[in-house]
Amino acid sequence: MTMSAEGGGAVALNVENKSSIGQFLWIGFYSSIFTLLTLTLFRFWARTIVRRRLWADTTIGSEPLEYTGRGMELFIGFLIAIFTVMLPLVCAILAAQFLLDPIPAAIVITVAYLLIYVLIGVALFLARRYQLSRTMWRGVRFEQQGSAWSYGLTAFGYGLLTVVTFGWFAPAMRLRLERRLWNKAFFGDLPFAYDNSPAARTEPVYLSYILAIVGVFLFYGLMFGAMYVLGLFADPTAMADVEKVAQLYAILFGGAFVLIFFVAWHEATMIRQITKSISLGGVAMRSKFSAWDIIQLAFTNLLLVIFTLGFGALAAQMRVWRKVCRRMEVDGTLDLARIHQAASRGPKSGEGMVDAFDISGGV
Amino acid sequence: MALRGRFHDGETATEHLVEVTFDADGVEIVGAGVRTYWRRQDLQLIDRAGGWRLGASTAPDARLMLAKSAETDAALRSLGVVGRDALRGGMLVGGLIVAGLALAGLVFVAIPLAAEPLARMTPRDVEARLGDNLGKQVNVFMRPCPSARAANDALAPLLERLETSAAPGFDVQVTFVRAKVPNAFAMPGGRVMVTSGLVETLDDPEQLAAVLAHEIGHVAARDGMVALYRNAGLGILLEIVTGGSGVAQQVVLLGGQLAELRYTRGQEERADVSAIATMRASGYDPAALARAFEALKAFKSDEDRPAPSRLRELNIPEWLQSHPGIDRRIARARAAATPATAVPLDPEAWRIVKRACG
Repeated sequence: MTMSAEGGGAVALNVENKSSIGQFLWIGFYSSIFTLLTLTLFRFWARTIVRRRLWADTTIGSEPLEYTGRGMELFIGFLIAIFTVMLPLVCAILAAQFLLDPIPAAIVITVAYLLIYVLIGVALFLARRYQLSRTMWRGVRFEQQGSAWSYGLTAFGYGLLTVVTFGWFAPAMRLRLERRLWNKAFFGDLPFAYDNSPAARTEPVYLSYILAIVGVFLFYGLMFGAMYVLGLFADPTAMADVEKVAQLYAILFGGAFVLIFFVAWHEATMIRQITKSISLGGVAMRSKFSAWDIIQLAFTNLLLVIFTLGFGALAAQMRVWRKVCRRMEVDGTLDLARIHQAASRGPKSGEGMVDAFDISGGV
Repeated sequence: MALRGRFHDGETATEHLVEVTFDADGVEIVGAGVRTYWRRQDLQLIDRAGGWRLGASTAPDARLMLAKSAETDAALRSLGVVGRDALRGGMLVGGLIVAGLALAGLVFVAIPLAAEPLARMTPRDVEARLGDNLGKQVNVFMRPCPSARAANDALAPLLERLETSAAPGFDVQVTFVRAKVPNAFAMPGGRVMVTSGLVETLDDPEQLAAVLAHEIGHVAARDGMVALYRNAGLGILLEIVTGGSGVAQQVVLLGGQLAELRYTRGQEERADVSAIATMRASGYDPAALARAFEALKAFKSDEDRPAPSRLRELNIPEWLQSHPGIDRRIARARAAATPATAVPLDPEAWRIVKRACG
């Protein structure tokens, strides 16, 4: 750390994470028990505890991040989303299904489902806004600006484009959505920037994607092949045969292992591409995350989860984040005295819709 | 005693090196460009891993970092900053357990209790429309018998007589559907599905009249609506508790539940009582209900013998599945035996009904 006596000025921004597996196993263990005891209501507080620890274990320039969110905020956000979004949608769909004639019912249900797809993007944006607003470093908050609806509609549009192109647009969609988010993200009053220009896209995003597609095709080939050999096509009722279904799952499980080798390169490439596209002030970021890192993580995490009977799931997620931090490199310095507090404190409650739609995807 | 610490003022990202002095009421923080006092009641312990990290509710973004030492530990303990969080954690978990229990009460007590008043409050035309749509959806899986029109015509006088006696408040419509399993079930709004298996299994028109009287009992009690509210309420609550299995899945799940309405034992027994009264009022012998149950029971034991797959068990008639107390119900119907004064269907009409599904 290069810090002047008064602590202002420029600071080297190396990213580190010193989380320990033991601690996360313990958190995973007791929060599972509390979650069970409280009919899962504890889950919001559990997530908050985990984030507090994970953020505090992550240091930038030797100074830890701080997560300032509260379990109650997540709980309230969830209740709001259930009663203002989820229930009305479910009721609309059910009412259409059971009270309307077929054609108006089909229209209402189609509109409701389209809305749900847009809302997924909205929900993800809102969750990110909440998380950044609850992340603090050196007393200064992060902030996500921009419109959740505009993000949701854009993500929906890109999603359609991805469907129309049979998935070919997917990596471009991911990079463009990252650009949208980071170009409206701030540390205090200092904006992040995301460069998605062709000159900045130096990683073999599409080359690695081809390998991933080949892997996915092989996986489906394996699945259908196995179903054919097991006679599940000829006699669909055989799906009720426990032994055959178990065999199918065993084959698919093995197939998933092989699939990891095909998609790891692409995933690592994406992480490297996204990281190097982000900058903050004069600071550039870079990641050395490799396909081999992903393969290693996948196998060791699987063992971790199996041998801890599932309690290790949190520790497994932590290990992914820890690896991402350890592979991160940061060049340049920030003039910290010139960075002022973020404009807004962020939303009062958080992530409700992500919970209601169950798309949170972990910590 | 002045301790050295680091201070983030929450206004810029600058770090200040500060001198910190504890007294009985709080802590004074002094450095270049910094002079502030945090009172003990405003002090918050943010983190203790790798050193003390303190905040104050009066300056929510500011942070004071102190190294752990005997002096700081003692000062923070005497200010009551340490130890507060453990108590709060215990209260939180306790409160959440109580909330969880309340939710369980809601699931197992309040929703089943609320379902009946809700059903009664539902306008009858809404229930009828809902039953129509539901019936159409059931008919996707259970095809109506194509040549049932003659059977429906032959059945009409019997149905009318039962409706006059029972006054269910809905227009009762019988739909014959093709399914091997002998079963009859009442949808919301008065639609009654009768499977081809049931028509084949029953021995005489009195048994059919008894089964229909039982279903009309469900219609009159609006049991379909009650079950619907109960299932929908449970599904939504489950969603809240478990945190979402996804809207789409939820809707499918609810739809699935609606399509196979299941009645409670209490509802079944009330429908039996109602059937006995209806049979008697129509001039038929209520004991026919007992004989209908027995015919169905015989079918079940026939089915049971080969049973190669556990899945087959899911196909046992709903009548028997949800009615563990079948023998008691048979006994009750038999005890209600009253000499018949009328014949539900003449032999020709019964022959036509028997051929409802070809």
